[in-house]
Amino acid sequence: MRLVPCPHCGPREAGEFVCLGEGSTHPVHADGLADALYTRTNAKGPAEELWWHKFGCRRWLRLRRNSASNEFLP
Amino acid sequence: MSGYRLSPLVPAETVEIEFDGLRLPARRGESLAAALMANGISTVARSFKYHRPRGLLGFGSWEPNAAVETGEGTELATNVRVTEGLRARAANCWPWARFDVKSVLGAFGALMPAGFYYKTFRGPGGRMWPLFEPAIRRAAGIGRLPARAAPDTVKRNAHCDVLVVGAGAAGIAAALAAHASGARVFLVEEGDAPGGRLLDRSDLRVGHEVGAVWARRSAEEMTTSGARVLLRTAATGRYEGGLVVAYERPAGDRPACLWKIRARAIVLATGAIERPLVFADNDRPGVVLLAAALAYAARSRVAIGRHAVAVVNNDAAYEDVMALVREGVHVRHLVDMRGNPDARLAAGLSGLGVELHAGFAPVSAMGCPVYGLRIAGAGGAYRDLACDAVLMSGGSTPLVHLHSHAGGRLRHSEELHAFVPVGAHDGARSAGACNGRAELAAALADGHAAGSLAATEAGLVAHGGGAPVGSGGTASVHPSAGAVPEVARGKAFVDFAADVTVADLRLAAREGYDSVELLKRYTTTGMAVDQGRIANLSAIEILAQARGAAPGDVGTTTYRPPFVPLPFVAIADAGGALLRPSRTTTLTAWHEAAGAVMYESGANWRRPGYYPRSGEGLEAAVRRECRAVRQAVGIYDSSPLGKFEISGPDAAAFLDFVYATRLSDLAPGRGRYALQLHEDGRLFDDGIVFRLAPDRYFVTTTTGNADACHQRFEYCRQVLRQDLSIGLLNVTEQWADIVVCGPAARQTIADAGLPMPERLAFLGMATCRIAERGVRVARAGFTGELSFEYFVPANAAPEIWTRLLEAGRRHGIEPVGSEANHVLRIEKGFISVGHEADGICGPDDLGLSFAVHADRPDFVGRQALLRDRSSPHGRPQLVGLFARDPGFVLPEGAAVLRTTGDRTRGYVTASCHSEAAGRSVALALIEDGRSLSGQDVTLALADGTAGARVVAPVFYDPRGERQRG
Amino acid sequence: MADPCVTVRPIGPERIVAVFDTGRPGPDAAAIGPDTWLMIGGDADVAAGIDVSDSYAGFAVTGPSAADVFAQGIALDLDRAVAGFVARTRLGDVAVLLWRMPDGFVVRCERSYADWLAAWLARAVRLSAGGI
Repeated sequence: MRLVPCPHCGPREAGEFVCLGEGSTHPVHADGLADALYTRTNAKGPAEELWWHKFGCRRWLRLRRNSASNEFLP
Repeated sequence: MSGYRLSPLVPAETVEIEFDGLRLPARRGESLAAALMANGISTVARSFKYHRPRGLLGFGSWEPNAAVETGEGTELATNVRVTEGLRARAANCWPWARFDVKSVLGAFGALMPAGFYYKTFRGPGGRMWPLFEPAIRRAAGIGRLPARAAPDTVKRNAHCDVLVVGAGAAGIAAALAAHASGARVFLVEEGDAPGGRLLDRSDLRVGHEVGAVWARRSAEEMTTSGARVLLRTAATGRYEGGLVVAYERPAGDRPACLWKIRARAIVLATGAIERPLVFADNDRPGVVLLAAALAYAARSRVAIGRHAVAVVNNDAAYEDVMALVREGVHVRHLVDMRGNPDARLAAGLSGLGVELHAGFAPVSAMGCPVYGLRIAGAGGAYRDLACDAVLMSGGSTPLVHLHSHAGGRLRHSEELHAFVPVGAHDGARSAGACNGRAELAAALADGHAAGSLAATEAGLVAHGGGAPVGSGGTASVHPSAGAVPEVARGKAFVDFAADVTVADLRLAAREGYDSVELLKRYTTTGMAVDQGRIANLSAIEILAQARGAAPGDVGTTTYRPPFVPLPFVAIADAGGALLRPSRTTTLTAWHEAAGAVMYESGANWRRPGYYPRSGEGLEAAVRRECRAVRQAVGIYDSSPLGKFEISGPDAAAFLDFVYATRLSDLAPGRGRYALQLHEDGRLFDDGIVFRLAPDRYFVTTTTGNADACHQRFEYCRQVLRQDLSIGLLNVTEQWADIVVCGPAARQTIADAGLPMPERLAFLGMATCRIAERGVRVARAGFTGELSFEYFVPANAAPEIWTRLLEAGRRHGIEPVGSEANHVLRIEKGFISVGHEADGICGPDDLGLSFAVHADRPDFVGRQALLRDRSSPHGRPQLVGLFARDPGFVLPEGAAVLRTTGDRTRGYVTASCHSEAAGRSVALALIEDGRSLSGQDVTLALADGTAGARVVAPVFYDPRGERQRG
Repeated sequence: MADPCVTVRPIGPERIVAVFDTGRPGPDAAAIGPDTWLMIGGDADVAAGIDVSDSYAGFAVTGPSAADVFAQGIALDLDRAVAGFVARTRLGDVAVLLWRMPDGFVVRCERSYADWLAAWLARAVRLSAGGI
């Protein structure tokens, strides 16, 4: 199982985390609401993602991961 | 084949085993495969598709044929250890491998080419497949499930600096180098002893020692000084982040173990296996891999036959043949597919009395079991060689699987006619034969270098010493030709385990399945138990020939775990009920003692469904429990309810953001029914939020969403609203929740001597003390009756529960389970998250607009909610349904149509018989359902239709006077 | 079959208090959320936080093989869990808190999982009997 580098707990198995991907934004205007709710970039390559360390520190982490190679980036 | 023992059985180590109904003497601890060979059993299995008789082809986990059932599941005979009373039978046949009824399929072989099942049974458009599928499925597959419960399998996490996979020459050299640097070393080896090929070749020496002795001594010394050496442990997969999974079959009584080994650096020294040659009837019992015959002779002291013929295409095979002869196995002929044999090797052979036939290719095996081999020279001259065993050596196949699993790249080596790893990958580097360096001296040097590099990568300082020096084993494993002679025809098998022939592969290529991935899926080559170890390179060679391309351009398929077969029980935890945790409240023991029928419910809670009295069924029990709540008093355990404490100066602002319901104007001591929405405006969760103090709230959520709410609260405070400062604590487990409800609730509580604030209004909360412990009492519940919820510290719950029950006895109290609760909430039209709140409905759809306060600047879901209001048509809306027949309970999930033949307009979400309403009632979500009030609709049932009338979704006390009373 | 190398003993009742603090409020305090800590026993001051004594169940797992018992379910490198080690992590599907003790470990889970954890520990001890 992949190790996720938690800055608070150290590397932990991915099964301790919930991955939210790019995450849901909180829309404050009705304009562009559908995009805000449903459109994601899904970039191939380096991407910033939100992970929740559910079984550890319970912190939400912004981690950079290369979506093509599945490697976490510093 | 006429196998026999090279060393006689000693009575002290002899046990009797049974195979396919035959009683056989065997040596304790040897493999079943060796025992069968020693007893001259040549046919040990039937092939997968044609049920052809098959013998042993390989050794260890690279055996494609010999699947047997031992009563503990299906295993390879090569991996089954002989114990007293072992009983085994061949897996894919009936009644026995030596006589199999289904072998008649072999006669139709020519009629069953690649893609046979698809072509024949699918018919135009696949319409015929459902007709034939059951019979085909029954005839397919290998082995049966064991009748006994699965044995215990341990799972174990382990961590090390350097993991070395394979304890052959390269692996041991690598482990020694890493160990000398002070690294925590793990060495896993599939075989019974360290050494690999050193165990087979007494001519191989390391330093001044015989290779096998060096291997054993090195492993022992490393173990003594802290390294971990696991024998009989096969690495089955390599995954990202330095994780290797390995399956240990320990000797003795210890349970099998699935190891999850996390290493900073990995050395893959998995070695290579021999490639079979492709010629007609090359699958006949008695045709084996040369290296396997040598391993049986050297390690198990069993000879394959009395006069063997070897067919080879490389120099190293000469050395193996000579080693085999030295072990005492008579090899009469050596057929070299190449024209110009090495003079030194040829001289060695003739000195041992082996006749050499150079420049001949194998054409066909004769007999079953084999009694001869036909070979053909360049000019078409045939020779028939009499023999009782044919030993094949088609070159070396490096075992690159573990390198490839996690994404390591491969390149084609022209010299080896095989794929080899490209560099290191994710901290794993290959060494020795799996890296294309099979000759002893090269393997030792390669292993030593890899071990030193791995130690450095793990953060240690590499030990400066030199590599062990090897001697012997200098002949090259490089084949000078492929393993598939031009003359290969007929039933010339490429994949023994999946029964794929050279003709199947050529046909597939002709039909256009000429990419390696398509070829694999169309013919199933490489998809059977050996995962292509035996077949892949020959298949690629055949495809390359057919396409006129180089094998390197054809490429290889992706290797995936498991590298060796492992039992399902090793993956699926054998812990039985432990696999999924079951959660208990402090009252669960009482529920069970009271005879409740326990349900597994949301969030893994184990809850009472109903409390039947003796002789009472579900319906009667539920009716009795409901009646108690409506007419007397009921009590239920609502402890699994999600509970949170949110405190701090910004607590009110935080809840106003998270909830669609305004909570900042709530007075301390009051509660409010509140909704959480998704950002898209759908209902996410509901519950009652109480304000304990200006800066402190007690929040309840649904049971099933308690964890999801926690995640969401954290998301809101950590990601969306970092400007707010709150304390957030999940107190679900701290507070048991005992609900007393019904007209006699007040009296019951008073009789129990529990404090009850006199003026507690509906949705009010007060704190008081019971037995020195703080308790929170609320006027709330889920039944529509006068109802008090006692939130008490969990460990205090049993005593308070018992007091209430005793006091309530004379008021007719009944404990109430989830079945009755379901009825009571349907009668009141209370929604349930997961039933009516189905992820699609918004608050207005469910008639919950009263709980949304959109006239506030911002909260989760507000923008979507505002937008939704501009298009109110076509929404699913919550309504009630009266079935035309008041005695008929509409099935939950039934589709709702306006009239027969209409499209589906909605579905029944909850349904029950209601004694309070005097009839069956149901809740449903129907498109624009509120506009249909009073109209008739049709329900589609599994067996016909039913009529119903749309009514308001409340069937009892519509004005809510009872719960407020 | 008991393993003389490992003993499992339920602990408690004990006082446990959750406190909010930006720094670790005591040497044995365990983080259960951002700036949210559990204080156990003598360190726990009810007035300073929220009493959660009823929320948790604990077991003392002692003996030379204690780490091997947990290695059957916990993916952390417990060989490196030295004095002062405390972590929240995953055992099966359950979140657990693990403290290193001089003679082994203390593990705590949410109370509703206590029966499950006791059964899991019993099986792990049985399977590690006879050594690994």
